[in-house]
Parts: sequence; C-alpha cells; structure tokens
Amino acid sequence: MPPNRTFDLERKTKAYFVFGAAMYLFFYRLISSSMLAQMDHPLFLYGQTETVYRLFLMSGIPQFITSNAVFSALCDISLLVFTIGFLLSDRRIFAVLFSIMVLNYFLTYNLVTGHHYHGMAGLLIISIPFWFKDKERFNLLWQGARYYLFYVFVSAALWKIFRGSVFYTDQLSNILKAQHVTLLLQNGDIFRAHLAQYLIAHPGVSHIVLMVNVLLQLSFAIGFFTRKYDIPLLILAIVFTWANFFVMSIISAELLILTLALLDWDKVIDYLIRKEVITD
Amino acid sequence: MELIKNTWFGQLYANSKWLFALVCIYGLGILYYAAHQREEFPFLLYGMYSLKVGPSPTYTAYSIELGEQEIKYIKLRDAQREMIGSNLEHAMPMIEDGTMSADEQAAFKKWLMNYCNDMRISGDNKMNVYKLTCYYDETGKVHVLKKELVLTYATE
Repeated sequence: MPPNRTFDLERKTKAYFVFGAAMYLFFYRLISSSMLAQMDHPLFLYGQTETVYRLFLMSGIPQFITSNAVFSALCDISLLVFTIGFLLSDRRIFAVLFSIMVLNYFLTYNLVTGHHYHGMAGLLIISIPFWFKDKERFNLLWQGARYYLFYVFVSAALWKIFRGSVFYTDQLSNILKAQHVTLLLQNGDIFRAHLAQYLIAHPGVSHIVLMVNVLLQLSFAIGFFTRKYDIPLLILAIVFTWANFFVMSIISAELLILTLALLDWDKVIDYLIRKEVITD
Repeated sequence: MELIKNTWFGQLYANSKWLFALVCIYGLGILYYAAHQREEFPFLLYGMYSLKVGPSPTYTAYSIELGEQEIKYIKLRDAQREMIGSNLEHAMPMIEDGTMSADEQAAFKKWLMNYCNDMRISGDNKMNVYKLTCYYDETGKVHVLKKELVLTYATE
C-alpha cells in the first residue's frame, strides 16, 4: 500500500535530497583535500576586508580550528553526524547545528584561501527551511531558497549591465587572459585551452558569448513572477554551470543545490512511490 | 491589498513577523552594500566577474616544482587550486615587499610543500616556486617573458 501523501513525507523527501547532496558536496571537498582537517595548519588567515570575517577572526575560532588537528577533524565529522542525526531523528536541532557547521566551514575556508568564494552559500540557504516543522513556515522558506537562486543569477546580470562591462567588447577576452595563463601554458592541447585561446584571439566572438551569458542570467527574473518555467530554468542553471566550466574553468556546481527548490516535488514523490523507493 | 497579502512577502508577514523582519533587514543590507558597491558577508552581491577588466601587457602565473615534477593545475580540483593559487597570490606580494618575516616565510614554504605532498601530488622533499611573467600574442597564444625562482624549500 502506498504511503499517505503528507507534508511530513514531502519535507522528509526534500531533507534526503538536500542533505544527501550536501554530503556529496562535502565528500567532493574531502577528495579535494580541502576539509578543515586537511588544511595542514595554514599560516595566514586573510579576513581583513569584511566585518563578519574580522569578527570571526577576533573570536579566535578559525585560528583554533586550523591549528588543532583533532578539533578540525571533529568539525568535519560533525557535518556527517548532524546530517545522519537529522535524517534519522527529524530533530530540528540537528539541522540548526548542521547549518552552523556549514557556516563555520564556509568562513574558515574563505579565510584560509583569502578568496571569498560564494558557492557554499546555496547550501546554507537551503538548509534553513529544515529548522522549522511548521508546514507554512517551511514552505515559505523553501520558496525563499527558490527566490535566492533567482537573485543570484539576476544580480550577476544586473551588475554586468550597470557596471557597463557587458557592453565592453574586450571584457571576456581580457578576463580569459588572466584566468587561463596556467591552463594555456601547461595544457595548451586540450579542448578547453583551444576554446579559451580562440575566445582570447576573437574578442568579438567572446563578447557575444558574454552577452548570451548575461541574457541567460537575466532570464531567471521570470521566476520571480511565475513557477511555470521552473524546469526550463533548472535546465538553464545546469547549462550555465557546464558553460562556466568550459569557458572559465570554474566549477559552480555547489550553487546548483538551490535548484532543488525548482523541482516539482509532487511529481518527484509520485515517481519515488511508484518505484517503491518511498514505502510505508 | 489582497494582492499584497498573496505575495511571498505578504504570506511571510502573516506567518511570522520576526522572519519577515529578518528578510527585510537582509534585503535592505543587500541594497545598502550594492549602492556602495561593496560586498560584506552575508550580504553577497554575486557580481560574477562584472568589474570591467582592461587589457594588461603581462600576466603572472606561478609554477610549482616538487622534486623534478611540475604540478599540473589541471589535475587539481577547484578547491585545491584555490588553496594553492590564492595563498600564493596573497603571500608573494608580502614576500616581495618584505612585510613577511623570515620565520613566516619558512613556515609558509613548509605549509605549501606539506599541503602539496598531502594531496599525494608527490612525496618529494624539495620544492621550487617560479614566478612566470607572460604575454599573449594576437593568436591568443601565451608566451613566457620571464621566469624567476621566487621560493625554494627543502627538507631532510
């Protein structure tokens, strides 16, 4: 007998997807030697420019974490423990603690690299709805995560328009010159290097690529007004991620976790029930 | 009025005043920092390379050799490239302008070598870091103009 379609079932299914994807992201970071315990006690923490980073540094927490092998390992392991704890017990405290540890990782990683990388923000945002069990509040915050995804893309487009960089013919060509020096020096024979070299040598073509990119990012604005195009927008987000990899050599897949908010969850749950993945 | 009540903001206000207030503060924070063109966590602006980038006569890259083996950046994952590349980009100016003490330099070189070795790139005990000054020709091909040894480190 198929299980009853309840809010709890939907919330739990979403939790498995979100926290499952989170574990995949952290596993990828583990094999990328970039979890806290793998940072090898970095000498410098670069956080002089932003208030929150400065306050975090003043607290002494990141210094303590990065210099203490046992504690940094505990922080890493806690991400898995809180995930399992939340999925098995459905106690909100685990979701809150998970978000706090993701925030801690996010800030510490950015302090160690000195490059304020934004990818993990998606995971932080989409973990927040799970702090609540109230149906309406959960759904509103889930919608909030969906709007945040649209904000990310639309903001990227608007900045390029307002700063005028989208109208500057050499913009992408100049960015690629700075971005791909090492790739072109070390691996000039691979497809991505050929593509970069072509775009650098042909600023007119790279300008068209930039304009298409801005149009793609701007198209996410439609999501603020209707849910009708969520699946095409999901596909566009994946296309953007692939294109970003081939043109810029940037893997922005971590932000893709927000696209879970674009799925039609009625259909997802129907499918999982039909396939007997979800049973009583 | 009914229209406003049916929006996401209207529903959030009806459900929880304090959540509504938090979202408003967050939105206003984003607008404030956007107006000042300055990013402050958590008010992320997501410019995604929106700053105008002008031409440059030369570009800098760093080449790391462990033993006889040069680290191929393409074999590194994003986060690894970030750990190595960003740290080098931050540390090298400090070394060049003399604001990094000899002890700090030694510690930095040790960290860099240990990190590279821990990624199982190599188990070598000698590391050289070269600064490459490069330029592009009109076909988009990159050439090395100057190669300088900027860091060297060896362990027993």
